[in-house]
Amino acid sequence: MICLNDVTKIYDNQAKGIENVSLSIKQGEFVFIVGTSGSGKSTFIRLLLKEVDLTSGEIIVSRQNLSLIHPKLLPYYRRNIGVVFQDFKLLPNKTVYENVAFAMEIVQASSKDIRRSVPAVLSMVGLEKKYKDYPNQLSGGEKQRTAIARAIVNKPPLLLADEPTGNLDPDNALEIMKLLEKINSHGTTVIVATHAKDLVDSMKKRVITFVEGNLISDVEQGVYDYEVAQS
Amino acid sequence: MAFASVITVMSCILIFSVSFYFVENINFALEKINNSIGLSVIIKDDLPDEKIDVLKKKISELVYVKKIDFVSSEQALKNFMETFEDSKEILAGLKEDNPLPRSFDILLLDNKFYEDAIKACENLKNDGVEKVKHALAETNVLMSISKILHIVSAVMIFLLGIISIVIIINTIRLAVNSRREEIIIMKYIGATNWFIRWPFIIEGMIIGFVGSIIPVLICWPCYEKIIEFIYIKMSFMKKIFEFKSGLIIFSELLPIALSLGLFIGIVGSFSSVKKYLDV
Repeated sequence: MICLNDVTKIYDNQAKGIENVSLSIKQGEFVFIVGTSGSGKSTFIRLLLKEVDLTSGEIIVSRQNLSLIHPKLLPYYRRNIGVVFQDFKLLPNKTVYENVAFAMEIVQASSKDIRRSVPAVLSMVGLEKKYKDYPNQLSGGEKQRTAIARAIVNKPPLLLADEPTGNLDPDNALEIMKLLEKINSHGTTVIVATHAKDLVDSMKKRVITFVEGNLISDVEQGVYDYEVAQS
Repeated sequence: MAFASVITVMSCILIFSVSFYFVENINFALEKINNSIGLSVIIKDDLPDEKIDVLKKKISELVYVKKIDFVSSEQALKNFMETFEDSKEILAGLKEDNPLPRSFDILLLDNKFYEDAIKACENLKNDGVEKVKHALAETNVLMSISKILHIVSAVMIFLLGIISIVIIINTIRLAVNSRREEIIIMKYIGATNWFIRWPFIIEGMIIGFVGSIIPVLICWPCYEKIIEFIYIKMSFMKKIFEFKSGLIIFSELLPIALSLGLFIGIVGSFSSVKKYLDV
């Protein structure tokens, strides 16, 4: 599903994002991207979102070469990706229901589909009773579950999460990880950039470790190797 | 923020509207003066009446003559008396012995022919022209003033338009800036640029429409009230200056101000959103 061939990203200020990274991720996998701050985790996510362009190499997502996507077609590419951020990025003037429905309105889904899909996905993330609440009335965990609901409501084959538990307490963080695992069990490829060691260790998923922009290790059913990440 | 944008558009369109009323009245006055400037061709005292028609025909045949009126001695005296109705002593003497000559009052198609018309009429001395009374120097001054005023008003309106657009783009940019996060979220979710732009453009159009219609609607009755006030307080103004009809200026200003307001609103929101679309 995702294939990176010798990918390098150097930012305009000459800061290194990632360097000579090659890897592949199959459809339906659950992958943790770990590393310290500035290791290249977020650059990896941003490259997959095509928020930034690579400097050299090649990225293929769902048989599409990202370098060849015309800017006008970028929104249609992104509709196949659900994205979750550390700071939730919810619209404060919209309710939980409206925030989720908004993602469907953008892809011009019919009102009927919105009325059917939004309650179903809110039920899946456990927010069916909070649908009228505004983001400022929600806890951190609830905000993140709303963001996840928005990310998956259009049933994207790929879900990217950049530090999804960064602002949450351990209990809520665990719940979010379980939710992501549940989504993955339905066939969605899930990629989570994090440095939540305990969660990574407990879930026994594939772990890719970045250090200063370089891919250092890629282990099936791995753990967050703190020494490797710090090396 | 939308309220601030409306106020900004309103202020700019209000200044524009006031300038427009001012310039329109200057142009109207100049046009009237321009149209009333003409020549007076004095006819020789000994020219027989039957030759006056021949002379009139010759002058009429000049291509730049718009209108020619014969003024008899009696008519000239009557006009004189109307002008100087307060000076009764002078008028009493004139009634007994009318010294005023017969003449033709001539209006020209355009004042650029003024000099040619004077020469042509002076060349008709053998046909009965005594002399040509004209205001060539005054006309030239007036035409120069008219040209300068046209340039000044055009520059003023142009500069005002540019200033308005710059202010409004910045005001709308502030409004858009406050919704930057919303735009970025929309981009991440997969919204097309036009999906994001439309609400801002419609908002810009509404801001432009409201911001331009209000000052235009305010200016018209204010203008009528000002004219009424001037005519009441300074009644002599009625004789020397005629203001252009408020309704006519309103009907000319409305489409210009609305187009300008909508243009400013659309350009302002379009350029403001553009900055945030490259995510």
